[in-house]
Amino acid sequence: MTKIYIIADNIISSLGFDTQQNIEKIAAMKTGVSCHFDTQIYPTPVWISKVDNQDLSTASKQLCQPQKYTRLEQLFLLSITDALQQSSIDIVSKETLIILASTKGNIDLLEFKNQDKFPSERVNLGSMAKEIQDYFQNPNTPLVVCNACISGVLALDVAKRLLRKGKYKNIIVAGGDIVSEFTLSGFQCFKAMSDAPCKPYDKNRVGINLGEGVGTIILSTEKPSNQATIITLEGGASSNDANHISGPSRTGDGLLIAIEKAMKDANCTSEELDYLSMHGTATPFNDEMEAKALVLADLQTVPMNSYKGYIGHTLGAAGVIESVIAIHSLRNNTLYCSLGFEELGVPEQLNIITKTSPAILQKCLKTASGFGGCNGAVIFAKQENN
Amino acid sequence: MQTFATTYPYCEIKDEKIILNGNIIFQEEDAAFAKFIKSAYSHLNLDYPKFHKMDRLCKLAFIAAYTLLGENGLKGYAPDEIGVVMANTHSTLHTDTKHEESIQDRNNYYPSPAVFVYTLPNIMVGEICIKYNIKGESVFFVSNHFDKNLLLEYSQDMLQDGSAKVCLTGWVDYTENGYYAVLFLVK
Repeated sequence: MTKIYIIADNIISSLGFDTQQNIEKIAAMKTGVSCHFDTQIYPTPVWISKVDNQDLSTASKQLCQPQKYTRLEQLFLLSITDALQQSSIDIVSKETLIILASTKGNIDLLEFKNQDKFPSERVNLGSMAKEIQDYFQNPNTPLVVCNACISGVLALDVAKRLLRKGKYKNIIVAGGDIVSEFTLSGFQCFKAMSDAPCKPYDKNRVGINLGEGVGTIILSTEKPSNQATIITLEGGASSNDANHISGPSRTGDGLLIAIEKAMKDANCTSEELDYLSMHGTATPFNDEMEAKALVLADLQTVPMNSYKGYIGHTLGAAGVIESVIAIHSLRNNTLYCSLGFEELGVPEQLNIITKTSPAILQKCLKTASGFGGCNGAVIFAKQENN
Repeated sequence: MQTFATTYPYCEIKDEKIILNGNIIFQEEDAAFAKFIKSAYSHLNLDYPKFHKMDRLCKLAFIAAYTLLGENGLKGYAPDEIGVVMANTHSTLHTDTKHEESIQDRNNYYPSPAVFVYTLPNIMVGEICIKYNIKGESVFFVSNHFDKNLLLEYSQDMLQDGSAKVCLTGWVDYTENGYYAVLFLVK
């Protein structure tokens, strides 16, 4: 089977504009979630994880004509640029593809206050993708995965399939979403938002904090020669609950299918997994469903966490951003504390990481679940390069 | 008239016509979409209360899937052997606009969960999965142009590597200015 190597990555979130800044804050247990009372964003105070506008406009000065791009496009361009600078791949080659993951793209352009700032077609994900393709002068039409909160994880799985087929040598997977009044009002009317920093798996969890950002992972079928430790994408899968469009399965059977298929695809057993980077949104139903799926998959004793307490729920970006953190967890041999968790609030005993600590790590599972009953799972592994 | 040079069974919905494997099986000329899709529901003798809660995009996808699959079109496959690969251009723009209108006026703010849930295009996939108990792999792509070959190749690849034994594959797009649906059963 074709090996798929992770050759570069980037995270832009409330915690910083590159992976290192993000990982340092996470290691220090710092959260980017805070209370924002800005009527430009929302009529009432909201607890969200937001990229600072001033920081973004400073960072965007490195882009060619940044004013031509929307807020989300600038974030995508900065994230991909930073990842590209770490690698020597040829972005203008036919053998390089860009895959974007996003739930709502430039949805802020639909908002009354932003209309007429950009051509109306830029609200279409395909048109947003075209801007990014043209900026980097890549010859291939980007693929855009728009699959609710599993978009990022699923985009990695799509990349895996195309790389194994030999259609491309390198694939840049970038997931991004912004916090907008559109999504805030939607999640608020679902009564899914927490009015304090979120608490995944905790007894007192009440809901999510929306977050924004972009994560980028560059995948290649060529083994990197400049890295002492290499990380591979071993396998992945998706599934559907076939149960409810806006609530997770009560049994966890849908997520179980994605986890089992991903393990089979990666030729990996439950005993081999050292660490689980879960979705953990901190809604009562989601976290309970995950706990049940982990028991069914015989993974309840494996150390696990959710990164939502640090960067909120970044929607379509979550799967990519959190995969980058998980990859660095493997690289750094460190298990990061599941921020916000104090007392078990799911019906199953789980091994939730309560203290950031060193551990020898070889393989990890990353999962996501979302509206529409979708679930996704991918598996990363580490080996020494020799 | 065979629009598609494919050996797969397919259903197409356009211009107030439902076309199954190249043959028009239902049409209602000059009907607005809402009336047309309701008549199609009756014509198919459907009794599925969830249909009436769906947005227009999901109704379009659901009628295309039902025309192609009927009640038993996927019998014989295990739930996790059935894949879904779908795409469109406008994602959920029609319902997005509806949600946006509900939050335009801070003094008359009325966002609704029943609308907001339909602001993700993979909800179409979810609705079809619920109806047919599909638990296999699925993906939703958004692109400016309908690339039929890309979707079919992706589905064929899923069959080849054993990720699925059958795949519901196609394109369903709806805006105020027009609509088009085509679904193939790739096996």
